[in-house]
Amino acid sequence: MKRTLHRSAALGLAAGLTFGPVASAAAQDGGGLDPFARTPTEARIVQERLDPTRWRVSVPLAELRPEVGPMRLNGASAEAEVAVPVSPLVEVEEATLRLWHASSRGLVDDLPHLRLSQNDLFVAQLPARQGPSAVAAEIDLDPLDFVPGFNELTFEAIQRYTYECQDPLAPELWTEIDTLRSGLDVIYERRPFDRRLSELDEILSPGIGGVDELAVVTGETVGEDQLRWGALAVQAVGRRLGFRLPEIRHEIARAPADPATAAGGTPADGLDPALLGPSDALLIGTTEELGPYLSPEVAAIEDAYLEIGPSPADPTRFVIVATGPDAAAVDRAVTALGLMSFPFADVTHATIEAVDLPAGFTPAMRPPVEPATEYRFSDFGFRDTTVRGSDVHHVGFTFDAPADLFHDEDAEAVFGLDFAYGAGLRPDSVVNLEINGTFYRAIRLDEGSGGLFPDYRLAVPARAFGPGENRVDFEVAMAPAETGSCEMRSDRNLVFALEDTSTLAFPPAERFVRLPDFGLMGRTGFPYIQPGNDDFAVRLADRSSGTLAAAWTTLARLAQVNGSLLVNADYGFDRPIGDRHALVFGASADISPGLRASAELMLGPPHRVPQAAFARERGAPVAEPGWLARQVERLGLDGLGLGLGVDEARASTDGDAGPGAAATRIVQLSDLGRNGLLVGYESPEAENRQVTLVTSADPAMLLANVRALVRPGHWSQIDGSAVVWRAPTRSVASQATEASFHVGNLGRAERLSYFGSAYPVVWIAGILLALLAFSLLIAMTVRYLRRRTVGAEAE
Amino acid sequence: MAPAIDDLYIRVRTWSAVGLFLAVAALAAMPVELPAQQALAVVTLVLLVALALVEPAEGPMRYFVLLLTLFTSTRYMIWRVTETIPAENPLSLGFALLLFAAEIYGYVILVLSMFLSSDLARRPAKGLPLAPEACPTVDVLIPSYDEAPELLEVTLLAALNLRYPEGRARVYLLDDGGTVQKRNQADPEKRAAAWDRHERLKALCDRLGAHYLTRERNEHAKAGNINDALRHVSGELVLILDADHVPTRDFLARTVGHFVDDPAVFLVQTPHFFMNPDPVERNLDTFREMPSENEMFYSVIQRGLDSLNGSFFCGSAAVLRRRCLDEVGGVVGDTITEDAETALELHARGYRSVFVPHPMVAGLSPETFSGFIAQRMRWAQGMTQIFLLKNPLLKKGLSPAQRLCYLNSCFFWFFPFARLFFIAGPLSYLLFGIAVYDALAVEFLAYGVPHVIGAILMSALFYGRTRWLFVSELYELVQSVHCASAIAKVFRNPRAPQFVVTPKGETLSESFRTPLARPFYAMLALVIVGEVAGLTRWLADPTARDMVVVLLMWNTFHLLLLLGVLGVLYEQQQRRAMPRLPRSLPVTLEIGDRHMAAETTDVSAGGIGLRVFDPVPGVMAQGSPAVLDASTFGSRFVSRVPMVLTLARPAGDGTWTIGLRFVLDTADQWRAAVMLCYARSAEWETFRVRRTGREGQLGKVAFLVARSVRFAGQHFLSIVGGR
Repeated sequence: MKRTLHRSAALGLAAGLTFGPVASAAAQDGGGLDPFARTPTEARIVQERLDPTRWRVSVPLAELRPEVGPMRLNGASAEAEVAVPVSPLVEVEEATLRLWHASSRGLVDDLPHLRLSQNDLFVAQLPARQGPSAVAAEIDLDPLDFVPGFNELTFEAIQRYTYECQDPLAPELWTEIDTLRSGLDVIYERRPFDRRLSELDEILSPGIGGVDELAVVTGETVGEDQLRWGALAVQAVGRRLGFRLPEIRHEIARAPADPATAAGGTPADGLDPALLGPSDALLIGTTEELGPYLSPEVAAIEDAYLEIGPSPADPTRFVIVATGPDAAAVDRAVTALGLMSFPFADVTHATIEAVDLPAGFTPAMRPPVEPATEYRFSDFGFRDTTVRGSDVHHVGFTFDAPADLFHDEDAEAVFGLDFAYGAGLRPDSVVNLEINGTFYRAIRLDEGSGGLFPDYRLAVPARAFGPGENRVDFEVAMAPAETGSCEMRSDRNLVFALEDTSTLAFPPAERFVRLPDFGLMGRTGFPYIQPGNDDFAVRLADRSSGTLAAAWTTLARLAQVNGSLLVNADYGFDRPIGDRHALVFGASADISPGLRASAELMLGPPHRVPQAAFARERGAPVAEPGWLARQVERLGLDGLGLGLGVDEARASTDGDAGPGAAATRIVQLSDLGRNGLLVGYESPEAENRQVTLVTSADPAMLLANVRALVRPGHWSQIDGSAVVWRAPTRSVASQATEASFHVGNLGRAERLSYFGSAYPVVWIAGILLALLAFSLLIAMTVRYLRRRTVGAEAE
Repeated sequence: MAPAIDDLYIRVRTWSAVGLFLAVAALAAMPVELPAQQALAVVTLVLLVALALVEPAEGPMRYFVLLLTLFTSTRYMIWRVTETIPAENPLSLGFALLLFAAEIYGYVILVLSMFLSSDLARRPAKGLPLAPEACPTVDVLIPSYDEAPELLEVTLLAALNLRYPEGRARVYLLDDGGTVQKRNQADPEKRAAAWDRHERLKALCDRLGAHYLTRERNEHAKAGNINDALRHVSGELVLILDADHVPTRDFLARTVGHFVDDPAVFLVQTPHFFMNPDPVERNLDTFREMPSENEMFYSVIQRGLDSLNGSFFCGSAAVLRRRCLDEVGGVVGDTITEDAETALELHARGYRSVFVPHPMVAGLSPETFSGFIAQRMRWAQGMTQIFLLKNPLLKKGLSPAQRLCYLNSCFFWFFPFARLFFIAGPLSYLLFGIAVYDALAVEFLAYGVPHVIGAILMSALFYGRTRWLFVSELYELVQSVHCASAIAKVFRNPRAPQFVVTPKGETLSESFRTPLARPFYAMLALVIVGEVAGLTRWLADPTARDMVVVLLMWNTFHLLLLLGVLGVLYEQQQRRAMPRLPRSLPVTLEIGDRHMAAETTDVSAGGIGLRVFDPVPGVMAQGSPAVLDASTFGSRFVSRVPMVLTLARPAGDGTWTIGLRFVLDTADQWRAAVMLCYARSAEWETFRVRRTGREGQLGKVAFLVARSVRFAGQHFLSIVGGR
C-alpha cells in the first residue's frame, strides 16, 4: 500500500515524519481532480508493506532536515547533517542513500570531495559531479549502524579549485544536493512486540516504524467520560511524540465474529483483530465496559490499571489498556499514562493507586518564561559552550514565552552575558545576536589581547520575543589577524566561550491579547492552553467516531504545543459552554444553532461566508507598491492608511483583513464541500471567551480534514479568525473576520494606549475632534468676553 | 475698559488656559506604538501646513493651530523625558540633560507665548478731555548722562512741541553729566567738561523754554536721576523720555486719556521706534526690508501682556501716574532694569497698566555691536535679578496671569544658555560620539519633526508679520556668549550688576571686525569640524547613518546661523550720525528767485533729500543757498527753512535728485526742522508697517541666508587681508 505525506514547510526533522495513510481529498471525492493535490515541489514519503512484518519506506532528505530547499555546501570545507529517526520496534535490514548532487565546474577534477558519515562513522566518499546536470549516486548504508532513536547522516564537502593556495571562500567552491530527489530507502522488519511500561517513552517515538496509526477503542457506550479518556490518552501519546501525530481513529470494542480468530497472549485477547488492523491501539473504559475483551484477572481488577502488550491484530504493534472498576479509576489510569515522566516500573502492567494534581494545575513539559524575571541560560538548557576556528558558529537556545504577553513598545529585555574570547582576533570579529532569525545586536571582539567579560549587558526590545517558542542565536564569526592567502597562520587563538551563567532578564509586562487569532493558537495553543489554566470546554456536536477522532486529534495537537495534558478541560457533548473558552467539533449541520448564530458566517445548507476583499491565499502574488509608497515605507511612515499602496500590499501579504479591509466584502452562499472550516468568535454565552468551531460537511470529512490540519505544513499556516483548508498543504487559506475581542488585564491607561495603537485612525480622529471642540469653546468664550469687555467700539 | 469685566476676562482666560493645558497634556500623554505615532505625525504636519497656508487670523481655527501645536510639542516633551534620555554613562547623561534643559526652555517659552499671544489687547483710542483744566498736569522728564547737546536739543524741541493744553505740561532735562559730583571731580579735564556741559545744557534749556535739573551725586543711575527730579516736580503725570527718544506731537493726546478714564492706571507704555538700524540690521543690510527686532515685542507680546494687565514699563516713551510712583518711592532701583521692576511693584499693588501700540517716539539703537551687547547684557542681568530677587511666581499681590507674564519676561532671558546647549548637543555626538539623544531617526521623525514644524508654523502664524523665520535664533545666538557670562555673574552675586548707559549716536568711520567676535570663531570652528566629523561618521558607521543625518542637519542649521553671526560681527562703516528716514511729502524749493516743485525722498535731523520735478540746472550748484517752503507740514513755528545745497544730479527721467543741509540759526528754525523730521507719528507707523508682512517667508529666509553668506565672506576676507 502506497502512502503519501505532504511535507512540513518549516518544522522539518522532528515534525516531518508521518507514515500513516493519508486519504487525499481527491480520493475521498471519488477521483475528482483537485488542483491543490498536484504539487510537484513537495516531497513525498512512500511506504509499502512487503510482507506481514517487512516494510519498505522511501524518505526524501527534505523530510529529514528543518531547512527548506536544496542542501548547499559552500566553501573549502562545509558540512550539513540530517537526522533519521528509527523506532526501537523495528530492525533495519537494508538502507540505501540516493544522492542527487552537482558541484561547481571550477573544482579540480576527480578529487574525492564529498564525504559521507553515519553516526560519526565513515560511510563513503564521492567524486565531484561537474557535468551540466546533477548525478545520482546510490550508497548502501550498513543496517547495523542504525540505532533506535535519531541517526545522524553527515555530508561534508572538501573542495579545491587549485592545488595551489586558494581562497577558502571562493564562489567556485560549491556543491548542491537536491533534497527532494535524494532520499533514504529503507527496508525494515517489525519485531514482535515485547516491551514494558518502562519503555513507553521509546515505544512512543517518531521515526521509521514508529506509531503511524492509533486506534482508540472504547466500550459500546460513547459518553462524556469516553470522550475525556480518549482525549487524555491521545495527549499522552502526542506529548511523547513531539510534533508529530499518528492517524487517530475511534473504534467501538467488539468481539470477533469467529471466536477462533481471537488472539492469545495479548492484553485484549477478546477484541476482534479486524477492528485494529495494522494499528497500535489504546483500549480505554471501565472493567464493566471492556470486561469481555480483557483477561478475567484484569476484568476483576479493583483499581486503576495500565497494561501494555502486543496487539491482538498484529504482534508487532502494541495495545495499551487503561481501565478500572469505575470512571474515576479509568480517569486516573489515563492521567497517569499522560503524566508519568519518570519511567514506569519495568513491568507490562501496573495499578495506579492515586494521581494527585493540585487544583487548576496544568502539567506542561515546557513552562513559559515569566515577565519581570531574570533567567540563567542554564534554565533554558544551555550549557557552557566553546567554539573554535574561523567558521561561523551558532550558539543558542530556545524557550517558550506566554501567548498573551503585552510589552510596551519600548520595554527591553536585557542579556547579561558571561563570555570570553581569545587573543589576536582580527578586529572585525563579531558575535551577532539574532532573535527568531532577526539580527538585533552585535558585540565586536576587538580586544587585541582577548579577555573575560562578565555580565556584559545587551538590551533588546522585549517585543523581539514573540508568543510561543523563541530562539536566541549567537552567531560567532572570528577571523585571524593574518589572512593573506598563503601565509602560515594558526587559528588556535580563534576561540569564544559563552557560559551558562549568562542571564536574560525580561521586563514587566501586561497580559492582553486580541482574539480570535489562530496564528497564536497554532504557536501556543492560546486561549485553550494557558499556563496554569486549561479550564476550557470541549463540545462535540455528535457522538460519531469521526467527530470523536477529529476532536482527539485536534486536542492532541494542541497539547503538543508545550507538552500539556489537558486534565482540567470540560469535555462534553451538547451542553452549555458557560464562562469558558470552547472548542466545538462536528459536522456543520449538527452544530447547535445557538453557537452558529454568533459566528460571522452562517452554517447550514447553504452557508454564508463573508470574505474581506483583501484576503488572499498565501503564496499568491503581491502587488508591488508604487514609488511614492516605497518612499513612505522607507521613511517609516507606512502603515498609516494613506492609500499609497503599502498597506494594501502588506495587508494582503499577511492575509489579514483588518477592520478597514472588511468594509468591502463578498458574501458567499455555498456548502463547505470538501473544505474544512476553523472559525473563531466571541462566545454567545460569556464575554471575552472564544468559541472555535472545527467543522466539515460530515464527520468523515471532518476527520480527514483535521488529520490534514494537524500536519505541521498545515498547522504552521493557520492564522486570523477563519481558516479554510483541504488536504494539500497549499490549500490553507486564513483571514481575519471583522469581529474581535480582547482578553487580559491591561490597566485603563494601557488599554487606551493599546487601542490607540490598534486603531490609529480612530485615535487621531478623536484627538483632532477634541482639539477642535476646545478651539470652538475658546473662540466662543473669547468672543463673549471681548464683547463684554470692550464692546463694539474695539470690535 | 471697565475694570470688573476686565478682571473677569483675565480670570476666565487664565484658568481656562490652565484647564486646556492639562486636558491637552492628558491627551498627549497617551503612549502609542510607533506606526500610530507616525500616522499622527503625518496628519499633524499636513494639517499644520494647510492651516499655515490658510493663515486663520481669527476664530476657532487660529486656536486650533495653537492647540495642535501645544499637543504635538507636549507629546514630544513627554516622549523626550520618558524615552530618550540616555542613562548608560554619566557623560552621556550630563550632555543629554543639558540638551534637554535647553529643550525645556524652548517648550516653556512656547507655551507661555501661546498663552500670552492667543488674544491681543484691542483698546479703543482715548482722547484728551475737551476742557484744558480736566487734563492732568504732566512733567516731561528727559534723563541724560553723556548725550551730545545737539541730540538733546532735538528731543527737547520735540517735547516742547507736544500737543497739550497750554501750561499743563512742563519739560525737564535731568542732567546727570553735570552733577555737583561731576563738576568737582579730581580729573581737571573731566571736571572742565562737566562744567562745560552743565553750562551749555542750562543755556540750551533756557533758550528753548525747558527746565534744567541736576543733582548733587550720581547715585542709582537713571532711576536715581528720575527720583531726584521727582522731588522738584509736581505734575499729576510723568512722561519719561530717553535722551534720544524724540516724541511726536500726539504723544500725550493719545496716552493721557487712559489715566483720566481709570484712576487705577499707573502706566501707559508706548512702543519704541528706532530710526537707525541696530548692528544686526546694519551689518547685514536688512534695515529697510526686515522688521525691527523690537517689532514683535511691541506689536504682539506687549499687546498680549496688556490683555492680561501685564504690560510693563520699558524705561522710556511711557507716562506714569505720579501718585503711584510716590507710593513705591519713585522708580524702584534694586535691579538694573528699574523700569520692569517698578511696573512689577505697582502691578503687585493692584494698579493697572495700559499699552498703546502706536509708536510715538523715534529713538536710536546702539550703533556698535559692543553698545548693542552692553544694552542686552544689562537687560539680561536686570531681568535675571528680578527673577532671583523679586521672583514673580512668589511675589505677593500679582494675579496668576501677571505671574505668568513676568515669568515669561524673565525666563526669556535664559536663552543664551539654551542656544549654547543646542549647539553643544549635536557636536557632542558628531565630535566625540557622546550619545545625547537615545532615539532612532524614525522616532525623531515621528515625534520631533511635528514639534519643530509646529513650533515654526505657529510662530509664523502668530509672529510672522513682525519677525522673519529664524531671525530670533540669529539674534539669540549673536548675544548668547556674552549674555551667558553676564547672567552667570548675576547667579553668583545677584546684587552685583551696575547700570551701564547704552552708548547712542556713535559713528563708524570705517568697517572693522568687532573684538567681541573671538568666541564665535571658536564656535564656528567647532561646528565646521563637527560637519566633517559627521560626514566621516556617516561613511564609517552605516548603522548610525539615520541619526548622523539628523544631527548633521541640525549642525548645518547652526553653521548657517553662525555665518549670519559672523556677518553681524563685521561692523559696517557708518558716517551719518543722524539716520535718514524715507519720507514722501510735496514741498517747494526756492533757489534765488526760482521756485521749483519737489517731493521729499528722505529726511534726517541734518538735512533732507528731494526729487525736483521742474529743475533749473543753472542755479542748482553745490553750496548754493536755498529755502524750503514746508508750509505743507503744518508747522506752527515757521514754514520756510533755510538750507544749503550739498548734492545735485539728474535722475535720468527729467527730474533731479538733490541733497540739502539745514542752516538753522533761530530756535524757530530748529523747531521747524524737528517738526519736519519727527512731528508725525503716522510716519513712524507707515515706515513700521511697510517692513511687516507674512508673505514669502521662504524667500525671506533665502534673503537672510544670502546676506549672511555675503557679509560673513567680507568678515573672512578682512581676516585674510589683515584688516
